[in-house]
Amino acid sequence: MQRLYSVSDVNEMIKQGKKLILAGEENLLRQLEPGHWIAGTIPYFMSEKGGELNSDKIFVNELPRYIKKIRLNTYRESSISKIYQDGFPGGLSIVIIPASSPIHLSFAINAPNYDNFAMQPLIGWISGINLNQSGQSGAKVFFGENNKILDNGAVAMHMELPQNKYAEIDIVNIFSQGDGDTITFDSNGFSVKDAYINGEKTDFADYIKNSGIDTKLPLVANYAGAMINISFQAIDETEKRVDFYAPVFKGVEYKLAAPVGDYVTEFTRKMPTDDVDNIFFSCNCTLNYLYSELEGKSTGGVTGPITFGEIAYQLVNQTLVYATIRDFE
Amino acid sequence: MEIEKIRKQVWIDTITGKIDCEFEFLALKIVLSRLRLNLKHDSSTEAYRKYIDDLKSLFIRSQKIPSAQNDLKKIIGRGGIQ
Repeated sequence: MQRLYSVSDVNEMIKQGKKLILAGEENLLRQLEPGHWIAGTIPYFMSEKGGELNSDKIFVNELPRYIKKIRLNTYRESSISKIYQDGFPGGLSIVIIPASSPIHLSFAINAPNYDNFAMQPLIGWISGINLNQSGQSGAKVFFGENNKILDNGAVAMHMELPQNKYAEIDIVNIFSQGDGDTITFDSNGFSVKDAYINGEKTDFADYIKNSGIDTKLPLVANYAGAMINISFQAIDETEKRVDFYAPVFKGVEYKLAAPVGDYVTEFTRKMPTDDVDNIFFSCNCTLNYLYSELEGKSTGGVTGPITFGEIAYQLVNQTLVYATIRDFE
Repeated sequence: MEIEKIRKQVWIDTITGKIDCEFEFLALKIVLSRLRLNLKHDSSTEAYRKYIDDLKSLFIRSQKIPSAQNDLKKIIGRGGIQ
């Protein structure tokens, strides 16, 4: 069950002992009873009506009944490195991390070096805020077992699956590498001053300005066939600094994405239609919602929160991520 | 177990990209990409041993997942087994 519900409906589900993954505005989540749930703040959703901003309802992912055993954990910066070790063998884990928090930055940069990285399915999202209310309350995550609210911690639900089922994570990325310059960096991070353009050290802010680059298009790296985006956040021409929504990594070769025509058409084309019924959880990126004007437009029948970052084993950007649960044949 | 029969050189060729297939399993793509990046910084014998262990470990944990099985078949098809 994946759709928007009122606070009272969600509280009823919690009282019934249902296991829930939730997304909604902070003032709504604060009204929930303790129970078997985790949540993150966000008011943007892909609902059955299409993309929407909704400050009155909570998006609910209810775990199927065949998932009997779960483990809910909170993580601090000092313990997030254990997240890939904490999942059930053959299970699935979902994590929510507040945007712009130290743990968000730490996870984004260091996750690929954590023990057991990507050895177990880990999906998740970065919680956020209403962009029209920035400067007010920041992004948070909620730990339902005791209604703990964290602005610099992660919450995770580790799920054990029956022996006859398996989970798999995949992504839908409408962007691919363009045929322009190869861009590399000499350190890992969310901000850079210099880049190597085809091997030549260059002031990256100047390069973007002088090349007339559309920063709505992300940088794209080819991860052994998976296209992984790094989205531009801001360019400070005074400081000569370029900020991203996800870290660039030293040694990875990036290219600016090829332009996309119509987002919804492209998205629908790339969505594996035979998988939609098996999708257990998915989320899409706020940048896709904004840049592609997704309000009121359906994206292949997929529903879920629209987030400040997506996690498919590691942090990705401008990407729809989804987890399917299927029976072994 | 086919995974244990795969020659060390096949794992090495997969990590270096000499065996380069169109893989399906997202976890494999991400792990492989990370190993290839690590290889740029450390190509010592000890590092290779760890990279191979990581790759084998992923396949052992995921051996019942169809996309991982398909990718393993592609690797074996390119590199053979003992």
